[in-house]
Amino acid sequence: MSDQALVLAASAIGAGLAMIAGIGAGIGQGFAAGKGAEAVGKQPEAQGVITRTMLLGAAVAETTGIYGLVVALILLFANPLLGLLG
Amino acid sequence: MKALRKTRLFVLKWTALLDFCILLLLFVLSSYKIAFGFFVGSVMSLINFQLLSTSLQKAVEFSPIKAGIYVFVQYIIRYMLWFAVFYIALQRNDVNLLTTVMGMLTVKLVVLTINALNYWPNSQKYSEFTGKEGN
Repeated sequence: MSDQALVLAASAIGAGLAMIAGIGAGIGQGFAAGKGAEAVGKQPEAQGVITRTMLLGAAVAETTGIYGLVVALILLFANPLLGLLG
Repeated sequence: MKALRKTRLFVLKWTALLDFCILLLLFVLSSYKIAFGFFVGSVMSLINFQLLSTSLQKAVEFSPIKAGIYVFVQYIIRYMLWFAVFYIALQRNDVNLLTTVMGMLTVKLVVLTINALNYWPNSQKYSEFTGKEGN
């Protein structure tokens, strides 16, 4: 196996692992939304406060999941490690 | 839902203002490629925030299990949108990927700044947007 093939294979595995970060943020957001819906069911008058707090939390959590996507895309389409092979 | 709308507009307004200032600086100080990358990232982050707000507004009216599934599916759709944006940024020579990622982070920066100001003394002005009690 050539060095280039080895780097590409390891990069593909790394990209797959990086995508797990994105799925994690999605599951977390879904869990938070479920709890938010439960809270609104118990206390309907606080719907506005619950939703806006959830919105700000979800906005911050979402960007963290997208880092994983950026890392995976760089590893797949603009791999900097291939340049080191010479 | 008036409170949510107010918070959404507040975040969108400040993010757009911050994006505009940074974009102006990038146009003056650097190349077109870098500025265009930031423009794409910031516009996409504003759209993303709007979509997130709409999906959460709908989700709280469902049952807890249905809300969880609905938000997860919406998240995957937004994730695919980001995938398309980053893929195009990587493939095209006139868009810089690094500044596209920076554009994405401006919403996060604004949200964290509002929350930080919320804990600043005499900051009732911001607490009405975050739903927390200030100092």
